[in-house]
Amino acid sequence: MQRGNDAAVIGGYRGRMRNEAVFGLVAAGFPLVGFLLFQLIPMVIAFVTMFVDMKGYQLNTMTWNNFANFKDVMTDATFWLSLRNTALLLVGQFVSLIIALITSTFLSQKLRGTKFFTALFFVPYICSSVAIAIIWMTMFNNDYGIINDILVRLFGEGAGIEWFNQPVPYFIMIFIILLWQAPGYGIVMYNAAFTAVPQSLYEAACVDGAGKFKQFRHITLPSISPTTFFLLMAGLITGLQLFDIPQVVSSALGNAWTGAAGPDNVGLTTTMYIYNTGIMFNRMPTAAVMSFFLFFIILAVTIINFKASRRWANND
Amino acid sequence: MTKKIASSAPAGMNKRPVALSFLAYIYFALFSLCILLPLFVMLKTSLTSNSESVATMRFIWFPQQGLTLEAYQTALFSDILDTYGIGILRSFFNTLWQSLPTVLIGLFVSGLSAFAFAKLRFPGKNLLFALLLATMMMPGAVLTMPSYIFFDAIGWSNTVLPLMIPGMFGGAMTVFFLRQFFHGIPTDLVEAAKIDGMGYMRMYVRILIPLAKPAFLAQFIFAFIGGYNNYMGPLLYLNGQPPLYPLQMALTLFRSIYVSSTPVVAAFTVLALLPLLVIYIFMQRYFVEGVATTGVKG
Repeated sequence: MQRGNDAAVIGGYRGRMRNEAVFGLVAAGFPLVGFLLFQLIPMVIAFVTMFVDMKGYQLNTMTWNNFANFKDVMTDATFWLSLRNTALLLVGQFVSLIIALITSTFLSQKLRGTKFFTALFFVPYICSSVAIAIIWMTMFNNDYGIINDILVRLFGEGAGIEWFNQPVPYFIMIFIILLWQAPGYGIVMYNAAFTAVPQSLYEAACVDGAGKFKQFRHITLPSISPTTFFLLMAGLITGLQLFDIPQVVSSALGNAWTGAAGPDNVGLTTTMYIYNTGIMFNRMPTAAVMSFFLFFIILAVTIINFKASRRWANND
Repeated sequence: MTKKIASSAPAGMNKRPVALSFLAYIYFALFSLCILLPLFVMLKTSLTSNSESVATMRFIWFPQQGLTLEAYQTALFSDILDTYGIGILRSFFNTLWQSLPTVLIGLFVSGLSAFAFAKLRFPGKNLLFALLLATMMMPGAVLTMPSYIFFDAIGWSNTVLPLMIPGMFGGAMTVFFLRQFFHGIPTDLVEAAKIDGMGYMRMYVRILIPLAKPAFLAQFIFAFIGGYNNYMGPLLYLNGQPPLYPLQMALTLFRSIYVSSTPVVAAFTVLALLPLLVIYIFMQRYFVEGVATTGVKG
């Protein structure tokens, strides 16, 4: 990057420079070797399998099948259902972003105890999805869960909800579990962004007589917009690949062998369905088609977000 | 009323309105309740006796038979190890040996790559870096099926290798972050070492790593959380082989075995969460840094 004084430094060190170049290339490129071996090659193989029939995972049994896998996927109602579920659960990522923003705004007031609350709000992030799913299933249990107990105490017998057996409650349950885990990351990121806003901006605004709300609207929000953009991007990508929590809940509720995820499959995300198709039903080529389909959705969403962000995110 | 107080204090324009502080504390209290309630319920459930839990077909707020550790006794010392070949301690040990080598080697390799990008001159540097950034865009879950076909073809499915080997090649995100950090270390140090004829590997180990210790620690913790909580990987490659199950995978098995005994399931869950929570309490700074710094724009 600083090529200016290269010539002066090189002097009589030509041999050393060569060493440096070799070492630099090997060291810098090593992670790319991993990418090539474990991501690019698999992607190429998977790409080929999209156009063939094969027995199980045996690559030597591949036979061209005239785009039958694509037709299968496009006409598979469950696949579209899984996309719809994923899209609905994606709303949770936006909600969690807003929760993180509100929380960090309060935390940035530097009230007494802020450190403690910051530490506490981050706890869900380090809890494993499996543990979280199990904890919340205990809470939502139709018979002995605390949530139905509270509902019954507040609204009388019969107010309890069959969370595990009805489509809408089941979906709400998954949504709530996700919301418990998701905001922690955003809070930490926003906290860092808030501290980076120059204090002088607020002082100037105060002198001009801008109230708290106006300061937030015209100073804070634009200053932290790169973080908002990053979190939105990360949230969308994570959300589109959602797997762990809905998977643990659905397999724990006794559908581990059918791949069904809750009543009417309301808890079935696309990644779960890809897993079911490829691993449980041994239909790898079909699963590969779905994977690439999801990949292009993620790509499209990323590009749209990038383009749209030029209007609102402040990227200097 | 509050309005009057605020307007009667013109000097305190910069001061927080009382109402805002009040609102903030109410918000913090509610949020804390949401975070803590599930954890407390789990802790309480794990300390309830099994007989009471079975006899009461509704939520128990205050265990009548008092608190007991019997669920933990079952979770830690029951004979599931003989029947299924896996117990909680063994699964914890599995998690450690399956994730630590990968995390440590991956970190070392990522750091080496970051060192080259930040401090060495070699041809094609910008191109390589652009490629590396591009690999970050690859969504992981989309890769699961392609990887599975590939690992099956080379005979690695049903082994721990797909979980351990790829990570040893380092990660783009880690390289990116460490490179940022290395940029803050004076290049003069490296130039001086070059003139002294120090080897590049020694430079990395003796100069860069010690100076970037906090960055490495933050990245280590970040990667370790990922390894510790990994569920999809073992589900794909180790399903059906309980003796190899790491903690998260074993947890789902234990839950299905003890599904009728809520206190034992709760005890397993608490035990599974405990190690990371304890480390978190002591090293909170690095946890938060590890997360916050991975997303800082360069």
